Amino acid sequence: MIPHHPVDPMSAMLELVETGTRAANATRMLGRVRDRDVDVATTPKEEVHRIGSKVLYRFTPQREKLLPVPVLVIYALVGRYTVLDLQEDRSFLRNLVDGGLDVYVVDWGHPGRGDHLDDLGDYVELYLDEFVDVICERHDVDAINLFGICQGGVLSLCHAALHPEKIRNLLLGVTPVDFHGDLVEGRPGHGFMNVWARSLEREDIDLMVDALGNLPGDIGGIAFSMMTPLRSLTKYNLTLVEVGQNEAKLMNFLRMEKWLADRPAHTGAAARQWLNDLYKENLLIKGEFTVDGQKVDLGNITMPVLNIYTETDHIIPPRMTTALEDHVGTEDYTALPVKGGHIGVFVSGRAQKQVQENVVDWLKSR
Amino acid sequence: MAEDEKAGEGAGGGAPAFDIDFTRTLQQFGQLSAASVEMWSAWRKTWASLLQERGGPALEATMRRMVDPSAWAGGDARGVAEDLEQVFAMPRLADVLAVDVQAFRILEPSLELLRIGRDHTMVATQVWTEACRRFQARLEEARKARRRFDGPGEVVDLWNNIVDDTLIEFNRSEHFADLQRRFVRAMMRYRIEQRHLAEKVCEVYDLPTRTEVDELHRKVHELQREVRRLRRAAKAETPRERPQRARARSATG
Repeated sequence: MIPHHPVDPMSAMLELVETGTRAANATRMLGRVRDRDVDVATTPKEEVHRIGSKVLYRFTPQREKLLPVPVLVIYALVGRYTVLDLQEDRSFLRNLVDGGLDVYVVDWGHPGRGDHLDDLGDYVELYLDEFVDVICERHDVDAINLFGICQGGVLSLCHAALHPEKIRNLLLGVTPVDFHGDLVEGRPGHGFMNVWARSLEREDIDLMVDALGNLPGDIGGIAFSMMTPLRSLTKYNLTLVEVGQNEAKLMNFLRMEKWLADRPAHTGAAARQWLNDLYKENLLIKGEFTVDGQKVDLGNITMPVLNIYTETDHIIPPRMTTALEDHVGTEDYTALPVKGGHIGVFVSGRAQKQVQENVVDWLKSR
Repeated sequence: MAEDEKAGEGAGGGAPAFDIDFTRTLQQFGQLSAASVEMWSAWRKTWASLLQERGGPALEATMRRMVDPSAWAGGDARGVAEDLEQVFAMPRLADVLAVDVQAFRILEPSLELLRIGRDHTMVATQVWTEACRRFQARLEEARKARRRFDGPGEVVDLWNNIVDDTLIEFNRSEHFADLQRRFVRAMMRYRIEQRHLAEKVCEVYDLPTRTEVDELHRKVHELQREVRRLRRAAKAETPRERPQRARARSATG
């Protein structure tokens, strides 16, 4: 029998009425919004190079350039770069442009079945390296600044280790390096992807790729939902009612939903390496990870490194990121802890400002 | 010769030239015929016995499963496919139509998926029951401490937090990992068997199959990598020039 608990019946009734009113408000507001009203990635930019469905964009400078060397931002393969430019007044990329940087970004697009053999070696040596060359030629420089975020940080690390002469400064955001770092921390609720990947046998991952070709974005979506079960269960009831009281909040919520729904597939060959070689075997930190037949030696990273992470990242627990310090060859290494979650670092106004200021200052001083 | 025989008949006084014992011949023919029938009958019985021995128990076991839904969900899924294979997978004879036993292979992962669904429901029920138990315990604690809640909202928050903790615990448990592994294996094997069946249909209608298209992709991909290697080698031989270059190179994809 449920024990009696002391809640005032009158206040309970009032709260019930209030909740009903709020639900009605949220529904009314949601009913007025069309999908095309939910716009993302609005910062002005131009396409400068394309390799198949992979596109290199340059953001239109909004003020005089502070630095002559451009910055190339690389986001993950399993999420669109648009999260970095989610809304006009809180855009990570726009902030970098406003900070006086010449900013490029790669849109990896949505790989199709025909791309399923593209592995991380192809992403680093075929696509990323060509984009870097294009920027070098456009600006007549030998090296650029490379800013890799999350999985894009791993691609950037590989490229910087294989072509250190092409990278002037390396910036990383919430980038996994020690894929078993979550075990060191042992925080429940953190690093679910690590637990998930390790619970599968290598053969299971191979079987998934054999059966599906590419790993659909939905699989990642399910894994992320299991990471935060309550948030997933209450997203379209409690959260939606909450944000539905304010149009700006509702639009922010819908932009994030749009980004989440736009989740690209992971090419099969890249997924095999990502899950087997990195998440399961942790080869990068051991110096045994190979791309395009070449061993990635983090000791070759001798350019200045800025490593941005957050203590409350539940997707990439901080130890996964901060372990980099012990493995890079550079003596100019800076770790920058920022407040926010894994995605929050790039969508929250406060964190964006902190990152923008630190990035611009750090680059200016080098 | 015919004339000689006629002459002979005339000279011998009408006696026949061949002495054939028709009765005896017919008896011998009858014996041979009976022996032949017996032989074929024995051969037929041998085949019938072979088929009976081969398929009987398997067919019986399959039928037993078919009329028992609980066996379908909870029995050994692999057994059904093996039973059917036992019945139909005769050695291949070149000019005799054969049953494609591959078609039965999809049954195995299908049944395994049913079992996983049932097992997950059982485990999920335990997890939600545990969440309810923890919630009741917290309410009881509050009652004993005579603590007042601010309102229903606070109680909902309490429930949500308990559910979150309980589900996170479960999602990270070995129990969940085991279910997940089984699900991945069964689902992917189901998908591969499904593709196998679809490709059989494609072959009938002269349509390209997934396997064939993948093979083409593989060849194109190998060529792309080869082009990249050659370009890089060519670039390494040419010293880099510093004058202004074209704004963008042509796309290679």
